[in-house]
Amino acid sequence: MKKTTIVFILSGILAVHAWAGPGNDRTRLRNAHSKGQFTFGGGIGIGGLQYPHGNDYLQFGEVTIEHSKLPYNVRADYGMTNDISIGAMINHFNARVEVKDNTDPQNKNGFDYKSTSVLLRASYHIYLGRNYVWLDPYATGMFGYHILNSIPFGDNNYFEPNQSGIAWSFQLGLNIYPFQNFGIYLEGGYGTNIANTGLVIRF
Amino acid sequence: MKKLIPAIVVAALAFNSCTKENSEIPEINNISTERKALMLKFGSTTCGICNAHEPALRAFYNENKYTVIGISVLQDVTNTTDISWQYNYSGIPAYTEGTYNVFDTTTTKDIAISSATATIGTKADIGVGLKPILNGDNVTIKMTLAAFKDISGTYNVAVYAIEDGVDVSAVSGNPGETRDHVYRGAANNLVWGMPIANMAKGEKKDYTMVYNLGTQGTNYNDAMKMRYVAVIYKMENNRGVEVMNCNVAAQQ
Repeated sequence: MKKTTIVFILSGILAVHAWAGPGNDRTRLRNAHSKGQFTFGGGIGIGGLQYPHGNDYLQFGEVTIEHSKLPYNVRADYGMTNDISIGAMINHFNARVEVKDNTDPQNKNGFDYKSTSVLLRASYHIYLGRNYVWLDPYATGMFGYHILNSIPFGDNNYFEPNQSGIAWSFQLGLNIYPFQNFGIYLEGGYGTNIANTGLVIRF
Repeated sequence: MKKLIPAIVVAALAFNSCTKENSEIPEINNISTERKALMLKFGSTTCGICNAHEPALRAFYNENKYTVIGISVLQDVTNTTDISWQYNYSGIPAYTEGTYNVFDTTTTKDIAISSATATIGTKADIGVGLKPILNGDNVTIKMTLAAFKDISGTYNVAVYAIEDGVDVSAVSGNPGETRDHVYRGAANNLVWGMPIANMAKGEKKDYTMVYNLGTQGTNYNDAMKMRYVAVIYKMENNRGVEVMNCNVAAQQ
C-alpha cells in the first residue's frame, strides 16, 4: 500500500510538471498561487491509514478498522514565494478498531478512538501557464502530532490501546478557483488522511 | 486538466475507509481472551449410563461450541502414568470440569456442566493460542501464551491429543455410532504438561511441545481428525488443581 501510494504521488507530480512544460510564461497577473497570498480551507476526507492500527492484536483474531465518521479538517496557508507556501492543518476523525476472536466470533473487543491531529504543512505549487491561472496543483508534505483518545469495549478487553504520537502526511492536491477568491480543493495521498476535499478562500 | 481532477478523486476513493489489518498475520492467531472451560468425561461405549449421558453432553458442547472441550477416556486406572490414574477417578461414568478432583457418581454430569458454565463466565488471567503442524508421525504443537495480568506461581501448560468421529459401532453394536473427544495421549508424554515461566501483564511467551502419533496414539484412526487441546494448569503437589484456561486447534 505504501509503495503504491508513493508511486502514485510521484507519478502525479511528474505528470503535472511535464504537462505544465518548462516553456510556459511565468508572468503572473493573478495566479492561483502567489507570494504573500493567504489561503484558508475546510472540508472532509477519507480516513487515514497510519493510525489507529491493530497489528498488535492479530494473534488474537481478525482485526478490522472502521472509520465511523468522515474526517473533517481546516487549514491555512501563506505564500512564501510564488512556488512555495507554508501553513497548518487540524484534522479530526473517529475510528473503531475491533478484534474478533477466531475461536468465538461473539467475543469482540477493541477501542473507539477519537483522533485530532495538528500538522504543519509545506507545499510546492506548480504554475500551469497563463491560460490556467484558475488551477493550482501542488504537492504537500505535513508533519505534526496526533492525539488519540480511546474508549475500550468488549467483555474480555485486555488490550493496550494505541497511543498519541507523531503524524505525517503527503498529498498531491489541486485548488480550483472558478471565482477570484473562492474555490474548492482536492487532495489525495498517504498519511493522516488519504483524500480531502472542501472549500477554499484566498486573500 | 479536466482529466486530472477525476483521476485524483478516483484514486482517493479507491482506498476503502473500512480496512482489515492483515499485513502481518502471525502463525498463531487464535489466542482467546475468553476463559474457556475444560470438561473431561471418563466413560466407555459399553457403559450404559455413559451412553445415556452422551446426548446431554453433546448438546452442551454444541451450545457452547468452542468453549467446552471434552475428553473421553477408557484407560488403565492402575497405570500411574495414565491420565485416568493421574486424574484420580475410580469408575465410570465420571466427569470433571477441569481439575483432577473428579465427580464420579452417576448424577454428577449435571454438576460438571454447572461448574463449566460458571467457569465460562469468569475472567481469564492468561490465554493460549496453538497451531499443530503434522510432519510424519510427529505433530509439533506451537503455542503462544499471553498474560492478561501478572502471572506468578506454579503453572504448567499441557497438550492433549483427541480424536473426533471415531466409529464405535463394532463395540456398541449400533451401526454408524461415533464418539468425539476420544483421548489419544499427551504431548511430550506429560499429562500435566511442563512449567511455564512467570509473566508480566501484556507479555507473550512461545512454547513448543511434540506429540508422537506412532508411539503414543497407538489406536488413533485418522491423523486429520485429530485435535489438540492446550490447557494451562495452576499446579500444587505436581498436579493440576485449577484450569486457568484452555484452547483447541484442529489438524490442518
